[in-house]
Amino acid sequence: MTTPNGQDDGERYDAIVIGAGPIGAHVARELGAQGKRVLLLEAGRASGVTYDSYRSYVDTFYTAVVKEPNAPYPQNASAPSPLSTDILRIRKGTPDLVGYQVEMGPQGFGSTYLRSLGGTSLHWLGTAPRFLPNDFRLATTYGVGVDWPLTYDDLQEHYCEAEWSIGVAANKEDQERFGAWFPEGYDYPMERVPMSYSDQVIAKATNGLTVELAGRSYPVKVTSLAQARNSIPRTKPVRVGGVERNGYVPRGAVGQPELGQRCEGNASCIPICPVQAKYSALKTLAEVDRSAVTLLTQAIATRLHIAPNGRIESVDYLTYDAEGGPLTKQTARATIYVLAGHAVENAKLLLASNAANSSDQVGRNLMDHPFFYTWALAPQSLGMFRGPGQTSGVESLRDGDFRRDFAAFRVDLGNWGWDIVNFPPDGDVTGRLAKNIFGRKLRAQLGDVLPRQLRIGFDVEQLPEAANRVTISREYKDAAGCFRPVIHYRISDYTWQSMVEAIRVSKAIYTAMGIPEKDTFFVPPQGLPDERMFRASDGKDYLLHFIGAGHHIGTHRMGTSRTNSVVDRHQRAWDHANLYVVGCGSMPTTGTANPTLTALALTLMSTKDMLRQLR
Amino acid sequence: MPIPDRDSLIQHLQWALELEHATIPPYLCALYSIPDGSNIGPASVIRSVVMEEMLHMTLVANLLNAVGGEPLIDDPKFVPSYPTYLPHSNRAFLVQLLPFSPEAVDIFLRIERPAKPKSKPEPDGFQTIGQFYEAIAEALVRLTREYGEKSLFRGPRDRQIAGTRYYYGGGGEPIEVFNLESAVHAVHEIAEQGEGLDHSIWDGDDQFGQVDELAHYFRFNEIHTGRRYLPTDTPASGPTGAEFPVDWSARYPMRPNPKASEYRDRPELHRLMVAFNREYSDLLRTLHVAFNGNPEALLDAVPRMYALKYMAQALMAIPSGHGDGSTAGPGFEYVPPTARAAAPTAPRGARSPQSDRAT
Amino acid sequence: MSSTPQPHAESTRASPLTAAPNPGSPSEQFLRLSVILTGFDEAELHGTGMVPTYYALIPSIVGDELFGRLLSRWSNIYVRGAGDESMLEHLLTSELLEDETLGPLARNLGALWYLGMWNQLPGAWRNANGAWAGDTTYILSPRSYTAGLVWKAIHSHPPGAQQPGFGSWAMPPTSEPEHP
Repeated sequence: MTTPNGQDDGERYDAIVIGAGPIGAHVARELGAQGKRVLLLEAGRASGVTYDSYRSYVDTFYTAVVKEPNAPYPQNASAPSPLSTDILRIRKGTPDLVGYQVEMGPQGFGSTYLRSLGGTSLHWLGTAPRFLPNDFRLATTYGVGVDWPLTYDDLQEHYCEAEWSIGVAANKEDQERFGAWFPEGYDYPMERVPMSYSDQVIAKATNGLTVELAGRSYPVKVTSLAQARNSIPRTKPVRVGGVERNGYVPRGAVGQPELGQRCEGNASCIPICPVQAKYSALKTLAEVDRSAVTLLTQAIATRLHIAPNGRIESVDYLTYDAEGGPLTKQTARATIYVLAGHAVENAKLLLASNAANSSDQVGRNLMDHPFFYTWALAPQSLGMFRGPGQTSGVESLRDGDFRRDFAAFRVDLGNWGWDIVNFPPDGDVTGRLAKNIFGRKLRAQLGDVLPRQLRIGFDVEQLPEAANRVTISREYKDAAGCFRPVIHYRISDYTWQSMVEAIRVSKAIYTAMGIPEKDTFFVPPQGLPDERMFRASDGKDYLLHFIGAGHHIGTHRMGTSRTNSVVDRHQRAWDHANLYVVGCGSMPTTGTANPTLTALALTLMSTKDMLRQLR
Repeated sequence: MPIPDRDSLIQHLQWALELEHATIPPYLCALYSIPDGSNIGPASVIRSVVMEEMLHMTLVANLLNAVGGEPLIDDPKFVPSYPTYLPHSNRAFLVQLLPFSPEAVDIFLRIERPAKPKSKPEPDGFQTIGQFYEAIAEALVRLTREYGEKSLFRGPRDRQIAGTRYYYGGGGEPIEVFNLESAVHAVHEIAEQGEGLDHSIWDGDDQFGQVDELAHYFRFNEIHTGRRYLPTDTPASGPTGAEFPVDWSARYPMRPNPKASEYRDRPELHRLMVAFNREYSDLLRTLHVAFNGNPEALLDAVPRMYALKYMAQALMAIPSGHGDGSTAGPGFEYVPPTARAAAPTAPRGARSPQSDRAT
Repeated sequence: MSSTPQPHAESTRASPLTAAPNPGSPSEQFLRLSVILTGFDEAELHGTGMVPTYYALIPSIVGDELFGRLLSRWSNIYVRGAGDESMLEHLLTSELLEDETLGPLARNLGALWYLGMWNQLPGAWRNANGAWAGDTTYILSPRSYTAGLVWKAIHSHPPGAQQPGFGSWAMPPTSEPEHP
């Protein structure tokens, strides 16, 4: 597709989809399957789409000194991505300008995403639990936050479709809690991924354990995790969203399908699965009908144009060849426009276009699951540093009356030792060598200590707050002249208090496991950018910390009216009948579930509305 | 002399199991001698053949179980000492453990050589593997007539390995054997993947929704000639397609037919060679358990195979000390259970498949 | 000592009780130093495939002269302490690791074997011995990363490589095969 500078390419598409991550890829696939002509724009590069180019990511990962989530993927000055290493401790009144995101504070927003073909699904962990029924009606049930304009039951069919589309491995009985249910005759496409040895040790030690939250007792129950990772396929026929499916066939690596039909235990899911047993959007992109869908990479959407009747009439985008090199401005037109570029990028584009914002909610209510963690040294080997990053969790604290007072959380039992605590094993090796520990003693000490490292994490719920927001400013632009996201972020007491409860839960688990108190840890020794002394409801002071979970939620939330939200239940903008803004940004509250699966379910529902418009 | 009765059929199927197994160590030595990232084409060819040979072992075990036999795998007689003739062949050539080399590929071609048109079935002293399987196919048909189908295929169905639960990553899907039709199907699957279907270069594998693949002989011939086959090529035309890059120097120069006993005076190396042999024998144990009524044990076989791969690759990087620039390698030697590692992992068949569920 | 070119063959035959052992060729000295620093034996080190690469690395970064000093100091220790492991370890600590110039090089060699990574030498070292162009913190290559001994030491595998297979993580952890 070559067009002169600043020119309309002359084509008129049925739909223009902006962003080729998991959400955009699903929209393109669903519309393309119905013969709709789609232009799919992706700001980043297409490398990774062939098996060999994907392997180049793996080599880059091997040689990266800091193996942060975006380490395998090329940095791109024209379409930059935030890095976890960019987050600094923010001093009052002095924004953190390092990297792509501008952080105004007071807390740093430490979550990252990736602008490249396939999006952040390249580096996600693959955790795919559903939201719980009460997550959709938080205001009604507990008097906090807001309700969604739809219910768990409304999403049921789309959850099922999404689970089959990305390939979720799980056992239903481990997911049926707090009223979550599955339709008759439905099952997940694959059996749950085997629980790690350490999960089994923890499950055994905590059997029957309970903790008290706001005066009520809750079980601490270890169960298998739902995850989009290839496991043993179920072969019995099931019903998925009204369609008979005759068993599931795992999808292996793109371009090398015999690889990755099972998770092979590479233990590097974040940042990259070398065999592609973990779902990434590259798999959905491979299913897109290319006769209907035109994929254009290195194409940065910069502005939506609004016609006098309120409809979107065109989108401007910039193309580039070399990263940071010259740009060519182009314009494209379609009947409907779908923003699927990630919560932060969607908000940026709407703000830059002065679109969809009559409610003044665009960019607001930015949320994450602030990730609090504690760690310990078990008395016996837990066989750490093996398997996927997480294979089980404690899901029994995700709902309850305590949510009137403080946030719920999903407990993550890590399989990679003290991973995010001190990034083993580099420091364990060099630290000992510095103390002249070497040879057989070094080998034996490492072999003894590291397999005993346990880390428990808490994905803590956060409530929507208008002041937590993505904004743009003429002061802050990137190399392509596009706005950098400017983030204001503050965690409220509702969430901080939960971290104090998380300390109690950790202590209960560590005690049950027979770990001596001296080997349990709650405060990072070097300090973190996001750290705070908090006076808890018990009147005591706690030094608390968190890092980003990578779950950007809420920047274009859905709601019941044009005054309280940006989009309706179909993720259609209240202000523009032919504009959809889709993805995690549409979610009004965070619940405690990793959001991608729910965003996909919402989006599969939206594609039906899009097709109605395009009929 | 044709296979006279059931006992003899069972005997021949046990030989078939030994025969299928005997080809795997030579292929693996060639494969693991290629450093990661080199000779990508040839490595991928050899890997694909190995995957299918493993499937063949399973198909033979299914046949053996179907007629009421009991596969014997964890046994000293099961494991050949290389160099060796193919078990029950006409002893025309020796199979050796060699690194990736023209000599190795030459042996592979001889192993997989198609039978000449109209060659006779040969239950013992066969010239080609195809003749041997023809003899088995013939016996299956004749003995079904003689015993009746239900009586010949009297083995319990739950000893069959079937479906996609255990097999993935190429190589096809195991066929459950319970009657004459499925038995003949399984025998033909083995023969066709090896030498081609009806004297074509293709393996006729499309019933699994797989792309038609070259039969093993012709896949190896691509390495041998350094050229790809075109869809229109025939056995007579040879490959006439694109060049197939082969770098004979990009491999560890493993000393042929490694034996742990050769390195008794090098305790560090000896220990690693013995460790490999123990792990290998434990893998045979795992397969033995799986093929004797505990299919779930196959889930344990995959981690063992990976462990063997990394041990073999390490051995191939260790100088052999023979002063000829050669390196050590994996011996694939049988170690009796009493001499293996103190606490072998309990086969999964002994546990419930969901035994790691939380209580 | 024989004159066979295979360094490993050499040392495994060398009886610890022979008087005044020959320190051997530079590559043999390097291998023995690597063994005592890492706690992995010569066969295991060769099994990584990295011996030639690592042997060439230190002189390529800090020059032949410093590398020669490192090996000769080690040879001197080796000859004096041969046969007595605790003596060797004691001498290695006091005469090599605590040496301001040679200690950081030896520690870096240990880290190289364990992590496949060269760590930039400490500031004080660079002030005294020069800021060499190649002396930056980096992982040598994909192969050096996957060859890192630390993963064997902790009974695991390098993340993203040497995959152990489906379900392996559910099995009880294994330790290294015990030494006979």
